[in-house]
Amino acid sequence: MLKEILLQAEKPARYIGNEINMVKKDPKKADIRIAFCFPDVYEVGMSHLGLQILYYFLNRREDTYCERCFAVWHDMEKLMCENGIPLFALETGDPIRDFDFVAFTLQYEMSYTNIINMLDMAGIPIWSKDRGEDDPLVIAGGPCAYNPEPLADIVDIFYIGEGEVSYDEFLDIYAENKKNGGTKQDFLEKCLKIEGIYVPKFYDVNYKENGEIASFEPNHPDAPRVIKKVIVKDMDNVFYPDKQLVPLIETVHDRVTLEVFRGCIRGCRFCQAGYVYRPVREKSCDRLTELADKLLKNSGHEEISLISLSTGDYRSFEELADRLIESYSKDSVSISLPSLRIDAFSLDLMERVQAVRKSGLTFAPEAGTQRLRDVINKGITEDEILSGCALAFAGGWNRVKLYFMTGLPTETDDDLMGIVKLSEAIVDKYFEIPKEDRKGRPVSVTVSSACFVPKPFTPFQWCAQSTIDEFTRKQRLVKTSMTRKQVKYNYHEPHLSSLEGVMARGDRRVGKAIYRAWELGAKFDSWSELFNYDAWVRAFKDTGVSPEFYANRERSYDEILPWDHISIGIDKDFFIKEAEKAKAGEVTPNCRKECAHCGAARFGGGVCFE
Amino acid sequence: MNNEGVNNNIKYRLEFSKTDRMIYIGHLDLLKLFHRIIRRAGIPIAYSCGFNPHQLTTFAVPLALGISSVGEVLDIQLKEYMDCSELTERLNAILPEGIEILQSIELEGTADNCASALRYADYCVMFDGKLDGIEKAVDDILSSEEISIERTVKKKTKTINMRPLIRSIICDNDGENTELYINIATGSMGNLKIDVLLEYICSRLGKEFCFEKTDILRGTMYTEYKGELLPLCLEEEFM
Ligand code: SF4
Repeated sequence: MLKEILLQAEKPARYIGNEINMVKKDPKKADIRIAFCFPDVYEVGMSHLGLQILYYFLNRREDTYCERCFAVWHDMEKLMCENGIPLFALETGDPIRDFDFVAFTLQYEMSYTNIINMLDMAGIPIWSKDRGEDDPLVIAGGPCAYNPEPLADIVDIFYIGEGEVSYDEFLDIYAENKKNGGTKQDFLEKCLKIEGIYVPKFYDVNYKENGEIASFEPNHPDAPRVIKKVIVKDMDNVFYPDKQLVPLIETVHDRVTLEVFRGCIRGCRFCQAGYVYRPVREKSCDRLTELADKLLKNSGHEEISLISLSTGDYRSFEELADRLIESYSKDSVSISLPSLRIDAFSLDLMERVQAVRKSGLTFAPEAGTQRLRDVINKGITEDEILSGCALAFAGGWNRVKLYFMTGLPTETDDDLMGIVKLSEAIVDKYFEIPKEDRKGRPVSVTVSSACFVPKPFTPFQWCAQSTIDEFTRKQRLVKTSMTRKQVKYNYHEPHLSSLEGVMARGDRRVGKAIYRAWELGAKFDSWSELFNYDAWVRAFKDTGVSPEFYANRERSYDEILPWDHISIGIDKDFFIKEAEKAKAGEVTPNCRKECAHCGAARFGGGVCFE
Repeated sequence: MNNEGVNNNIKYRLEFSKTDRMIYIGHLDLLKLFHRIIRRAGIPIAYSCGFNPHQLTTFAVPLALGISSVGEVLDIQLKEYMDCSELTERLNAILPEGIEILQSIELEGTADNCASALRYADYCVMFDGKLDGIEKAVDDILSSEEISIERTVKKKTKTINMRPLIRSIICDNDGENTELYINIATGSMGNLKIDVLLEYICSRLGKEFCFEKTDILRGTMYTEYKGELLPLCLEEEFM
């Protein structure tokens, strides 16, 4: 039966597992079965580093078998539905509704409808309250879990922080409880004592007439008032897999990924990742080269990618790069360096590691004028961009990609015109080099602008997001002002970003609208060809949830925010101070230049103690 | 671009199976998988010269997704000699379940590669249920001189005579499912796709051929030597 269905599906290899380094265990011997669910297609999910780490981390436990499960593409969904096949895990092909845990990773807000769809396809009741003793417990973690509230009525347990810290304790308690015949309720109550664990049902929310939160209170004596994120202190001694699942089909990234450090010293005010992963914690150069060696050997990949939020900020970057080049260039292993700042040093490095592919260089000024870049604390100047481009052009590069955002706080039309001016100044830079030195093809500058989405745990968490109409006007202004034929302007779909704005700062009431949108057919929202905006419009109407209330409303500092019971270790006062500095256009130096006393030093490690 | 120091004559032929979950992997992905596995196993594979060096490997012929096989053939060129059984063992130790090297042999440096040597392949087909009248249909096919069918390749339709491409069909209709043992031309000198043949057989019986419900297994692949069929993967002394 399955064969017949798989042969009718587009890319059947998405559903069969069996990759190199897949973990095989006897499921009968595992006391705990976990389905690690990535709410997007296989090719996207398999490129995700967190999955690779947690998969081996959990499977290193003898009593646990962690399998994988991905969102099923719509052709396969139809086939499974017609033939009564419930959602299954790749390793054993067993239905995930028979597992102990179904664990979702929340990487982006627009995957929430896929979570509902996966539960539904698995035959698991969607609302937490409707699930019984025989249903799996639904867990969620990952960056979006820092505001868990939109999914609080669906997910039983949120894990706040880095998986390596509390999962062992969590699973030990679960195994113990199961052995002693304890109920789910017993287990959930025991969870309240574990750091980083949030069980939404033990909290009640009340609302004011104007829609704001009036109170958020624990309803169980053991439930902590504030749930603190847990993070790894010592990156050298924490578990890191020495192998990687190597897919049998092409995925988004086919390469060894090596995590260099967690966190970011920069403090860009729009960037949630930059705050929630604080403080910066590095791996040592020795540890990294040791891992690189094992990972390359055990995977057979021909590319290694150094991953972090800003790889050039790694203190031993030069040494690491030299050592990797020395060890691997003769084996035709290429080294890719995403998220590098462009300067003479990095250009030289790229020249050495990335062979001859002089395709595109990427800059992320994010805003068009220095004033606005100061507001968002993006520490890159026009000079740096222009001189970087000049160096690149002289070195034979001829394609530049620029990333901007529109709708940033305090933005004016001048700032938008700044995007145009900067792009054109780059083109001019190209024509400054003598004709005979311009190698090959003509210059091309691709400008992409995203729509700014204010995120929780950033200084902009109180800001109003631009409306769809405002975004459209702004994009049009930029578009019509771009006159140089060498510049190509792309912009993001504002409808999607606006929904993202609702999810990102949503509270428990938003869950109803997500569910309704799914009922009306929304899924794979981040796939433009499947994005169904009408379903969302109707869902908001049907459930009485006002998207404007969440996306386009400015909050006051004393309003109770839906995520106030979660602590990422940074003081709210720090965010208020940063928000005020942003309004005044004052920059905050990065962690290595001068500590801004954000509060993250309380974790007792990382950059705060360098 | 120079070949200095590279011995062009160290060649091995591998015969492998592709079954179970691995039948859902297409040819290009299979190719990549082998490249990775060969690297990972630390086999001293030879690379081509040039800016984008690639491993020197040749597959006899692609296998369509959904078909199992116990007779796939791959030639590889190495930088150093290796013991054949060690080669087999090292690859099998890390190949995913469903792909297994069945045997490795060393090739004469001057031997034709498997793709150009290939002439015929065996297939074993099991239908979903019993096909009435299959024996007669097979007899009719085998006794005709010419069987014209229309093939559309790249939007061009042309008529081909299928008969010379069929060497043998043996029918077993005793069990619950009809089984056919087929030997047909395969490779660059003449190629008949198994699904085209099966579709034709079914159409003679007035039946629709359903690929998804049919179990197809490719068996041994052959070259031709002095009018005889010889398995592609055969030790020297037999040649
Ligand atoms: S406490 Fe200082 S050094 Fe540490 S993360 Fe905060 S600002 Fe950076």
